[in-house]
Amino acid sequence: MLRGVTFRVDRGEAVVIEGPTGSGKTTLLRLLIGAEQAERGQIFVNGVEIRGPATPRLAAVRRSLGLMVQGIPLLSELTVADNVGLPLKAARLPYRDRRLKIYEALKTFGLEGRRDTYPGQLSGGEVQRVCLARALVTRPAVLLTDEPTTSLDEGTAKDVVDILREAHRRGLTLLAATHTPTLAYQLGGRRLLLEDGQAREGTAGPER
Amino acid sequence: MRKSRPATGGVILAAAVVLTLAGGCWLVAWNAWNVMRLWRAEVKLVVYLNETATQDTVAAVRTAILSEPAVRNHRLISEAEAMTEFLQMMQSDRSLLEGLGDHLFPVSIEVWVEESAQTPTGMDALASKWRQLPGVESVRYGEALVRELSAAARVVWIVGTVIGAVLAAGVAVVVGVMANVALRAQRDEIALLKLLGATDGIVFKPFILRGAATGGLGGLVAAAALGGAWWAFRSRMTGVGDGILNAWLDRMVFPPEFVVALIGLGAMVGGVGSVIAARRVNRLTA
Repeated sequence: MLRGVTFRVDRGEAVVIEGPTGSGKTTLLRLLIGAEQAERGQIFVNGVEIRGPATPRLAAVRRSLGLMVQGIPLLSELTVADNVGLPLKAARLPYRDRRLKIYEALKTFGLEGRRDTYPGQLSGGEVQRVCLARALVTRPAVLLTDEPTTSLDEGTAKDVVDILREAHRRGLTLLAATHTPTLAYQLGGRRLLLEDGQAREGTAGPER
Repeated sequence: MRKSRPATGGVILAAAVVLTLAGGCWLVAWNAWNVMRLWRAEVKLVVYLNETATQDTVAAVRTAILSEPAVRNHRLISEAEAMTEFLQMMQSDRSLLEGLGDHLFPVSIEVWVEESAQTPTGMDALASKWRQLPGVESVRYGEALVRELSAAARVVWIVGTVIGAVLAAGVAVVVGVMANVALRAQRDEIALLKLLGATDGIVFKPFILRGAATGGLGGLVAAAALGGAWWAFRSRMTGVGDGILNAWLDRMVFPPEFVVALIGLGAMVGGVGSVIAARRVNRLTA
């Protein structure tokens, strides 16, 4: 359970929410997108209060975010291309524009050869890259990511971190949850330590 | 959204079968009602004038009858014309009427009225009014026939509408079940799309449109099946029956509007069924 968690993330900032398993990192991210409801308190994203049932305003907020959060998995019955295209479909982009953006995203993440593959046939690293491609395909201003490098081999984890750093360098606001301190240092930016449901500011990571 | 062609084909077929039954009911009811309406239109009021009625009296009665807006047509029958018609009908000559008096057939006026007045109440009202006119002996019409035809037309219309409506609701259920199955199969995708910011319209519109299209196609197939059955029936029956049957068949029609109505109805109930299914799944993925 999260208690008395208060923090603010400014545009272009990178914040790593750090804490052990079960400390509430995923819950916090899910609260931010309205997938779960807080009993008390207020949450604002882009000036919109995230509360209550899904409204068109909440839907618009969700569309402005890139999501790589637990509970938003790849759908096993859709191909890689279809999975990556889901946020574009949610944004009601015309089919032709969708195809173009999917192609660009797959190319950026080195997944051109996997477009018609199903998630069950992908390696762990490829799954993470598809999730990232899906999260960034709409070129969102904010990315919420949950354990982006967990269970990846060292090389793949480095690739993912490089992608996140590059996106942040281009202006992406980044909010990453992790249980490993390493990611905070790799990404740099502000650290928010979650422990026993409470949050405190940690020491900043090294400058990138 | 993915779709299963065999499943969609099956639902179109099921919708077509139910719509064919519904359409068949309506077609029979509509034609039966129409034939009864035409029969009823043939029913006339006959105003008999008394023996002492002068030319002026007849003219005055005629004027009074024609002043009624409900009067569609009329025919004045003189004594001589009435006698001729009677003898023609009896296939006999004047010797049949010898000794029965001079004024055996009174002057009469046959009156046909507009459809709005072809009801027991309407006919009664006109008859009562005309009975009060000076020189009028009596006013008669097929009261019993008018009542029976009106009652039968009402029963046919109600039964046809009720059965057709029940069957049309069946189409909504068939298409709704299909939409429900499709929506539940894609529940994860729907939930995910909503988390990614899709509005209900974006998520459910394709399902509703597909439901309407499925119902509409079912209606088209049903119209084709009914049209084919109608054509076969008419081809088989032409020249088979006697004069009355042929006259009856001639009055039965398969109106082109019926095709449009079946397609429209199929699309509408298909859309409604899909909307209901979408609302139920929406609650599950909220």
